[in-house]
Amino acid sequence: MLFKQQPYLLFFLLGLLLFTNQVASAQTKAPEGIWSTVIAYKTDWAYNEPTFPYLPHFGAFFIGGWGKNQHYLGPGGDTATCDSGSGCISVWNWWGPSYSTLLIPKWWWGSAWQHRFSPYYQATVYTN
Amino acid sequence: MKPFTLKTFLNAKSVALFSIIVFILAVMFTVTNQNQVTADTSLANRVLHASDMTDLKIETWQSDEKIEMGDLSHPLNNAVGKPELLDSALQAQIMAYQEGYQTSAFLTWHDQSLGMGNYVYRYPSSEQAIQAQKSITGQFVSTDKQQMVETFNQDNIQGESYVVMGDQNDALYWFVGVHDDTVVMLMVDSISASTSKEAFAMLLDDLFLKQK
Repeated sequence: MLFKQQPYLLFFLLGLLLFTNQVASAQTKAPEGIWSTVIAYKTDWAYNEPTFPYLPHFGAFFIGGWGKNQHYLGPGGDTATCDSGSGCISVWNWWGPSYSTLLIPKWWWGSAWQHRFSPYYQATVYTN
Repeated sequence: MKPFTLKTFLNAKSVALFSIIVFILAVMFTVTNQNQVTADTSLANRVLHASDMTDLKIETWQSDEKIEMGDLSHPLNNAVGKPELLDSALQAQIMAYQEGYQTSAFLTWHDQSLGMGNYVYRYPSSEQAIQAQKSITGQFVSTDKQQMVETFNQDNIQGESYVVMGDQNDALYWFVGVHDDTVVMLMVDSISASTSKEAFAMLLDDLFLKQK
């Protein structure tokens, strides 16, 4: 009866319902992320150990988190990294609040400039 | 009613007041900004820069920037909130710095690569800087592999150098010293002990020259 008198009211209410539904779903839906294979955007010191002599640790930095399936794309590939003194690249540790930095053993980063060349480090990371 | 013209607009008292407020804010912003730049510049003058590298070849210059409190890529911040690793009182003395500056690079000496990190931290007073330096070096434990190398007591800077030998003839060198109200730290790391030693000596000489 009311809608007969005010036909626009129906459209208004439908629109309002649609809008609130959209807002609610946007608020409750968790952002979905994807796993992708990317290369490191830089290599640098990752952190120093907390007490003096503050042993420095070097790493390859990735955009994303929860890094895994890391590979070395430089000369010799993954196999070459087995000379690092800390095992092959597949067992190197991830570091950081979201594990986005692949720690690079000192003997490896110090032995050739290619070992500090960020595009040679590839990994699968999770990004939102 | 009076028509609103450009003249009435320019004569309005509110516009004059607004202009004064804008002027005062601009002056305040400029003064604050200049103080910031002055402080940064004076600290930045005490660290090694790319232009200081005369003997060592630069491979990559990694950083030349203010130290942010939450930045883990420099030495002092990493013990924060870990009283099990470092006594809270010592930590408070070390972390009392007001501002910091760092440079870092990969350099080459006789075809051997090395990493260099230079960090300076300004404390509220020279006494606090001395205390912080003692709190840092007081953590050092001498062993067969790591030792204090030398004590420096010059007019402009006092401090000690340390070496940490690795398992594969690699070596990490540190200098931790005090200049006025500033703790000055230099790190050299490479997989060759002789490279680390020689490069550290050269860089330390250059660093001392900058502590005027």
